[in-house]
Amino acid sequence: MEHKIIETSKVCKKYRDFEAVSDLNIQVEKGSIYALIGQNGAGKTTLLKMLCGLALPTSGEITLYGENSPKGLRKALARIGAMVETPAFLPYLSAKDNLEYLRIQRGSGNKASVAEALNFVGLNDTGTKCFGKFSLGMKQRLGLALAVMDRTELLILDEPINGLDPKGIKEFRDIILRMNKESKTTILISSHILGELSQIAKDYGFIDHGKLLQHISAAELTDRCRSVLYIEVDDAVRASELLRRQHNTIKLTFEGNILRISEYQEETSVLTRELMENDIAVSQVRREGMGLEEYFIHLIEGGAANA
Amino acid sequence: MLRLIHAEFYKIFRRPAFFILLVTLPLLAIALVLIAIRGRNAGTLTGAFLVAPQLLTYPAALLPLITELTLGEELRERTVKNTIEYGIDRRTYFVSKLISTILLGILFVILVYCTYFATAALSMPLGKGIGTDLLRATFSRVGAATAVYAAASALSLFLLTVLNRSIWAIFTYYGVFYFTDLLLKVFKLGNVSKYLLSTQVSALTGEDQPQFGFILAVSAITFVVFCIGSLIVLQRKDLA
Repeated sequence: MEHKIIETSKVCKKYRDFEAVSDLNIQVEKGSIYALIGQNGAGKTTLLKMLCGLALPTSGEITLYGENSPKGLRKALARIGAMVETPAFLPYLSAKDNLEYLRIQRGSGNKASVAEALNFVGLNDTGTKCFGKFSLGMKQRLGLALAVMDRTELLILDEPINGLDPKGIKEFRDIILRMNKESKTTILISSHILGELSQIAKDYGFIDHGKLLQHISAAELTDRCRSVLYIEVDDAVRASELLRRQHNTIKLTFEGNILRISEYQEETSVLTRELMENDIAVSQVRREGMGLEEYFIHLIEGGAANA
Repeated sequence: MLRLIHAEFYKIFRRPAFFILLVTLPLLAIALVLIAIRGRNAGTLTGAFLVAPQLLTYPAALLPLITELTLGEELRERTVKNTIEYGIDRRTYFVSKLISTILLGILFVILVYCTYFATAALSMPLGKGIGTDLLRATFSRVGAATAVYAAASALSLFLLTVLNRSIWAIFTYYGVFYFTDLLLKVFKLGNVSKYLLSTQVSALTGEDQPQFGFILAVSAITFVVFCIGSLIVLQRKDLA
């Protein structure tokens, strides 16, 4: 029944003359790790704020867990853990006291849930150190601890790895993957560090100037970004027939004397050896492909159709 | 609602500024007694009761500090988002802050009065005229002052929700509370000043018998107006 956990319909957010989010429709399915990708000012944070009830849409509809009435949305928010923008806590309280304050306020869990959340993010040994004296990485971790404290079913994370060192980023990635795998937590995450997102995301939403340019699954993206192999031969017709005969799944086209192979299972060396063994001369081999970053840039520059 | 108020006091009881107020306010009350003892009308306990209404000016003057403890720092530190993103209704959130502010003010009033009367009782002779009439007169004023204090709390919280920044809200509060009367006189609207909260405080601390009904009515209307204003602003506000 709750296959789609988040659904927005033509959501707009205007700040005077500036339209931060424009007619945006996204859908996040249960169990997904949905990466929201966009440049600074693309509207990612505004969208996440609206999903968390921190900002109100100018128009359009937000549905969380099938609920779209104000009361229903508030009820749904209790099932969501969020970290939008920089984590904010009271500077004179310790990590434990900050979480305990919010636990009492929310009426959720028991005292042990605070310790569990701190343990989960590796902040269990901070003692009485005040939040104001935390490093940026520690602050991020505490934000994550709050988001996971209530054993949430959906995590909304806005730039969560900002300020983390490489070790922290890896630990963070492990936490996200563990939550998704073990607790089936759905995760909606935005980040500038695309390389990091590409290691965890199952779905991607590319957003620019407040509009969703494309929603694509990780499998589709891999397919589109997959490297293409170009082999220059002396007889492209015979070479293509040979390779198609030898490899059923190969996707191959040619232009002039150049073979363009977009799907292949074998090592390049295997293909070239087969060609040469059949007296087809190979004069050049090159591989071209795209990473997530290149794909994103290609997309916002209007190259989606060619991606 | 009770959960939110419980959490509020959990937070406040860990706030250094709260303990500074907790120590400073009774000291001020003791200072007032000492001044009364040394003064020309060197006090008796009866005298202390007659001077007691002067203490009613404290809560209204201290309100921006108290609302800073409840709502101000949450807006400044942007921690309000932690509450709202959990699905807690903004109206419930505001009302919990309002109740916490009033409870905190009452706590300080009780503390100040207990210290004041205890010090006075220990250091002054009983004097003439101590009786139920004097007690009733004094505590009627204290009771009415609580209503004025609640209205002033609504005003202070309204300024915080509108202005966001505590420092602006504090200055504006003092400006509105203490200088509106002057401003009205400048614009020859002096007859409107009788509806101001500062006028009600003056009436309660003055020597004449206050009109309790009028004071309560003005306080109630002010309270309702600023509560509704705050709720409208908070409902529409983008947080975080």
